[in-house]
Amino acid sequence: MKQRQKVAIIGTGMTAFGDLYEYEITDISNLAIFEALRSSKVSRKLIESLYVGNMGSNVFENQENLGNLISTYSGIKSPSFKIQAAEASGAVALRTAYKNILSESKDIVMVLGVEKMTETTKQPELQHALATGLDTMWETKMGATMGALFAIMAKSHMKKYGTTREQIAQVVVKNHNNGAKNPKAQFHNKLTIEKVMNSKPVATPLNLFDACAMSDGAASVILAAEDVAYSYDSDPIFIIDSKQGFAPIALHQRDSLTEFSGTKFAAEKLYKDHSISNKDISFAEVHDIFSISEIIAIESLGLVPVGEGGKATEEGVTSLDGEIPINTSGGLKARGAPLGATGIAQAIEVYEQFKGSAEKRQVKDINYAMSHSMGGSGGTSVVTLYGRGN
Amino acid sequence: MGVAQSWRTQSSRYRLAGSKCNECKNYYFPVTVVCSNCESDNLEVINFKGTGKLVEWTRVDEGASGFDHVVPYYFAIIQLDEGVRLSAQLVSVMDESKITDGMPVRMTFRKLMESTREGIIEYGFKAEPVNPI
Amino acid sequence: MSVGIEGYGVYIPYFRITVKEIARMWNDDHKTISKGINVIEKAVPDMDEDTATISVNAARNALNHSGIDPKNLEAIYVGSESHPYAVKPTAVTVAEAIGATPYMTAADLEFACKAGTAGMQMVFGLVKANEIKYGLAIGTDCAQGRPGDALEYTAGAGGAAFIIGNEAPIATLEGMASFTTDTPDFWRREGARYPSHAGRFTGEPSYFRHTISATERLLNKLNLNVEDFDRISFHQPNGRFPLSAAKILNIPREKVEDSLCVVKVGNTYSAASMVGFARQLDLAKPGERILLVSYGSGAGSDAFSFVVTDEIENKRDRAVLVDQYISRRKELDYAMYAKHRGKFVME
Ligand SMILES: [Zn+2]
Repeated sequence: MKQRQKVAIIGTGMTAFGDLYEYEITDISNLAIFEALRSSKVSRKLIESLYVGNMGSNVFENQENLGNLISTYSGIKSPSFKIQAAEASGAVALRTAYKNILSESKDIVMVLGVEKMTETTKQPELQHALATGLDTMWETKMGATMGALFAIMAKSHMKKYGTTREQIAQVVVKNHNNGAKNPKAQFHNKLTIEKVMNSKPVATPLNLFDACAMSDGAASVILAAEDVAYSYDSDPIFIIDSKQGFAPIALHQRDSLTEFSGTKFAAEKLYKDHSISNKDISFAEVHDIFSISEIIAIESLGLVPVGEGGKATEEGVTSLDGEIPINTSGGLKARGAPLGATGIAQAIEVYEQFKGSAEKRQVKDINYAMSHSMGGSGGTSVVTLYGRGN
Repeated sequence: MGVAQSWRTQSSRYRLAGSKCNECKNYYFPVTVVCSNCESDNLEVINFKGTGKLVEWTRVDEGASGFDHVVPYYFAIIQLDEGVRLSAQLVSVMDESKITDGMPVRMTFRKLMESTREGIIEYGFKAEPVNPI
Repeated sequence: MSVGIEGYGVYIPYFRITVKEIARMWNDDHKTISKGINVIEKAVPDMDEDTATISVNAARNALNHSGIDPKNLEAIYVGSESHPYAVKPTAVTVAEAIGATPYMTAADLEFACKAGTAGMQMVFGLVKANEIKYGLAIGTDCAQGRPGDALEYTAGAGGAAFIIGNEAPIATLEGMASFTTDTPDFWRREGARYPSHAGRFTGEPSYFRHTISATERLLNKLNLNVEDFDRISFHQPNGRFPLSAAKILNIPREKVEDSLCVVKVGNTYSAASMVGFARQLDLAKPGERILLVSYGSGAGSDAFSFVVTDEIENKRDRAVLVDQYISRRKELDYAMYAKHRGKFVME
């Protein structure tokens, strides 16, 4: 039997993202899980493992043992467990599931990304919850917030490359434009550069609209081994590879304040291992937890030249009709950012684009696509490459 | 922070205790038990001098719990003279417009964050400009 | 060499509130008040400063000035009426932060505004008895005045630290004397937020009686006259009392004026006479004789006579001058001042 090379996405399910006050974490998980089962026509008995990506159920709901909880309420009685890598939890869960299938231990598995954040109603509590993904003793105690760290990256990037505040704000404007075309997005309103720059200050130079909003949501995909996938889908969409890159957890421990070295490592390895270049990537979903994060991410992913992320955004290179559309879904910013669900939501956007079901935000002539997710201020990076069968 | 955690991290918070690898001569902040560069456990505890320069900073207007009533405050990345970097608040800033990149700073002693009225008070280092600004 | 001051350092927070701004809040005439108390503004701690942090920063300045290894400090006493904990010493935090632990003794002291000089006496005693080589005495306060009370105009914040030993003192101790009675001029009951005071009773039978009696006792003991002193620092609850005390003792006001930090930083309570003494040392020349007299309500005064040595010039470039802290200032309005001093009910 030949070594497995690829893993297919054969089913997807996702809730709308936003204030889902009327649902429990188990409810939104079920909404995503059963939609994925229906869409794939896979019986839940065939699910051999359930991987749950979630960042903060402990902080937000005082609930751990999440795999067992969700198995209980969904009736998926396979082995299940939570995978936590801060905001990259969903992406790491997806990668772990992918790796498990490649190692031939499983044929069909389910990955769920879920986060219920609206139990927290106060901004300081939210900031505190997000900051648990940082070095809590030597960053958070010293006054760091996610906003402060990304603000420091923004200032450095502006000084080093001449990136303007307007270019950074344009990321938000573009992602809201895309989100307006996505029925499942949390925000459908359009923004202007002025509105972004005049919103409440968070950490200079970043403002409230540079940041993601609190959100509830769940997203689920069913993965199958290449040889199994064709029984469910005649034209499956494949995860070709998924790489994880490392950088020190604390921003102050990193050599550069203007790149995501873990992201760069993972992307370069992907290009090399599959003998492709950035030109082969038709679009990408990237981790825009803050506006500046998208600019640095597209540079570190090699999608635009280093230092030109701001300029590329300003010139429309990353817009829906640009050379390399970024965050067609609206990104974490507009589609919504239920932390652990974001990595799976990215995969679903990629899937829908390949399937041609992205409606008003449809990208044409897709070759390869990429998704990128990060935990904390960029210590954990996951870059995943998608494509069709030969 | 638990009492034991507060107690065991005291030397680094109070006196900038760090580690120096006796094999590869790398410095670490805070104190560590193994050199992540050469894997040696032949490390010695040293106190950093507490002087350095400002690498980058931001004014935080939206603080996390424990910092929400003290905003705005300045958060900074500092490079110590020994070469190690750390995160610290920047205090004693009378005029924000006078903060400059590479500005010499030194560590001063402050309460790290607001504490509850009944819990232990967490003290530690914060940076301040060497030349008043 | 005889026992004396090996090094000293002060710390004064950089925020200020003016008498004018406090008077605006309470509909008082600031000109009359400012003139009456001879205070223009007072130091206010930052929101992350308290008696422990001020003590540590003053102690670090003193260590640098003395040039001694903190491991050689064998006693640390912190005098204050605003220790951050009711139970848990400030002195141990200072000791850890400056690296003096563990082979040493430490304690917090309380005697209204003279707890700092009480610590000096104790360290002098230990060094003189050859029990320890070096000791550190600190006087620090972040004073609270009841909003609208007369004390609010003066209740300041600051600290002073003195390292005492007999290796290379910048000023040697000639002698000390005290005067102590039970005089209830100012107090704060356990658990009470603000202190109470007895109005004008704090003057004649309290501040003046004790300050002058302790001074006279010291003069008798050392067989000196007030003319023998070049510089003087009395406790300074306001800018008026020390000048009046000088007048009663027939001391020209010039000898006291250099000590009057109270005009610009307010009454720093346990630190007040010590900060004044530090400023006199900043300006002193070898051979000068300095009188330090504290006063603590309740009540007592400690008087000390020092003679400045040549060593002061050798350590001069390591000193952080009191004036550097006085000139470093940022004004607060009353609302921000109230926030800094925790006067809002938040929970
Ligand atoms: Zn080493």
